[in-house]
Amino acid sequence: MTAALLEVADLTKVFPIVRGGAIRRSVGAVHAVDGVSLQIAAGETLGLVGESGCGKSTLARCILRLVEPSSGSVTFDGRDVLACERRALRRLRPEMQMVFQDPYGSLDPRMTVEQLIAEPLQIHGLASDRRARRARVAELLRLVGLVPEHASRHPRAFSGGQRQRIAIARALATEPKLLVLDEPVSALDASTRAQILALLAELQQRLGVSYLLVAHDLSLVRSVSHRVAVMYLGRIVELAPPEQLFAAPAHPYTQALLSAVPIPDPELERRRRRIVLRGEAQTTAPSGQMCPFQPRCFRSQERCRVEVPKLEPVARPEHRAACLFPDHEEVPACPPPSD
Amino acid sequence: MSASEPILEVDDLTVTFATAGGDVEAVRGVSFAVAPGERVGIVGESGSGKTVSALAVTGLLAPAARSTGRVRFQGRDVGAPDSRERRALRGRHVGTILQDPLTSLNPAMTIGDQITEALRLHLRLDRGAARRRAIELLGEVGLTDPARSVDEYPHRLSGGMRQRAMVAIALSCEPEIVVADEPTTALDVTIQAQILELLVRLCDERSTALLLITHDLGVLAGVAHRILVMYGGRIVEEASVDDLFYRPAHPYTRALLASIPRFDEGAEAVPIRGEATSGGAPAGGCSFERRCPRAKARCRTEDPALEPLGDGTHRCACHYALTGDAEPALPRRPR
Repeated sequence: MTAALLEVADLTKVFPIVRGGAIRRSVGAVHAVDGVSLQIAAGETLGLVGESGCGKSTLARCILRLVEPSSGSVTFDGRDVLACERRALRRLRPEMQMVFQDPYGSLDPRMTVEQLIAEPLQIHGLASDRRARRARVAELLRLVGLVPEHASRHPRAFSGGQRQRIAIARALATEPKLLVLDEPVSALDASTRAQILALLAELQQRLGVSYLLVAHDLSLVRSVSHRVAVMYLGRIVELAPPEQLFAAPAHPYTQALLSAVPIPDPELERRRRRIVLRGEAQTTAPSGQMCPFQPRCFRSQERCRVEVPKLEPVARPEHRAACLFPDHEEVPACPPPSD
Repeated sequence: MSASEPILEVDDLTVTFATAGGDVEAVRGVSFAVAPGERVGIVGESGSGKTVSALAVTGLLAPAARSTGRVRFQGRDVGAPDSRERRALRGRHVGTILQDPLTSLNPAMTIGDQITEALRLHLRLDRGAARRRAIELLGEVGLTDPARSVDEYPHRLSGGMRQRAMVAIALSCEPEIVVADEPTTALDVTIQAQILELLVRLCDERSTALLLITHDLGVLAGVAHRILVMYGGRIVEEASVDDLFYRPAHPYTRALLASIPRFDEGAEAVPIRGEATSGGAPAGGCSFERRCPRAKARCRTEDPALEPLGDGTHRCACHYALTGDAEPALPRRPR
């Protein structure tokens, strides 16, 4: 792997819990992102997977400084992102762009496709005149599989998949080195998801752009990610290349997540046993020195109540898990519950 | 499935919406039946007519929709969408679960009041008995501390818990069939698995039939006995779950299967080319023709009828239905 394009070290975001009307006071804190470190190389895709409330979107927004992190560091292309003043940050923006989940909400319905895609070009002064802008918009539309004739229409004239193509074209307008994709296909039909994922893979091949691909469904990130990180309660609990993560998940949470993904094969589904986690997904980690997953874990032991597991290699150096009792046997697609 | 009389029969259902650009036929001549206790899945993309079909069954279509055709429940005509007969059926004999529990639950009523409303109206239970039953039901669907959550408002519950409450409401009057429209689309995968398992278990225990509408064919593999595939307002294939996954006959079904990413295999998903057609009858031809890899001249002029293949339980609407093992069921690109 070449030098990292993006390097995140010990990033933490704490949201205060505020109570009271007239006299507001802080009564606690949620560690939405809790000491996350990760790297993304040029041209690499890191899949970031976790359930609602695990902090994956907050992490993505912290990296772009759409949300101000509480502590830690973000280094992008050799520059310290968190130290950037407003003007320096503005110069950095065209290089790191974002695509949001809902293309029905992220595109202004009153703007035409041309205005939507040209907007980042204008803001960052990237097209000299109208003609250059128009040519660039046409080029971007073709790049994402649309046609230049679409430029004069409004978002409502397009299907969900086409709208997401427009959002991708808009994000690519400034030729970013990093694209943060926050659940880019979850709002789309199952059949359209494959189209958009294939488009993303193709664009990466052509442009060499890096992706941070945030998703809640593990099966969606497999084909396009070079490495996959699984997040639980603000922490990365497992990080591995997809082949290893899917064949031999080591963390009990990853195993539970995988066992919940439907497999389009009735025979397999009938044989399959799901791991049902105790209790409901939490949004705040248990306090004290313990494994945050312990209260829901089906493999938990005494040590898990008194020690915080670190993200450490299991079996292979590139496969890391934050579990005191990792399971790194090759397991079938549907591991049976162990208790 | 037993050969007993179907619980629900839909015959030649057509639903038309009047729009500024003229009438749009969202559903065009759909017929199907559901047997008692049977779990039937309807799969299709946005605009395929799957939700409109389900809403027509429950009588919840928007007033702007005109529907023709017949819906029969236990052999009897259910009457017009707004009729007294239909209202008596809804809730009592047909339970409904919709996609987003936050918008389908009443935010100004407690969970308990929303369950007891149905129990008191349809089963004529008194206040105390209805409340006791509501608490029992909430326990059955797995709400933590049902005696307390019965007095909670929907916004106090998580998405998964809200959908569990919806399941409790849908099953409260022991209906003969539950119609669930994308019940897990807004949920995380682990919650999705829990809700589906819960629905299947509760329906099995009560011999309640289930009509499950989804855009995700993968979800149906572990849930449905029989699957209807909809495209462009029509059923294009109908088969048992095994036939559909292992012996799909319609090119659209095959394309749909190949487009599902699988984490358990090293093969890449193959996207369906083009965009889904929504509403509006194409001029005479097959609605999938434009996207079909096998389309021939005949497909442009003649709309294929849904016809039985082999033993008759497998039906397909394609002039060139794929039968036998001429081609692998799931054509995939190796990595």
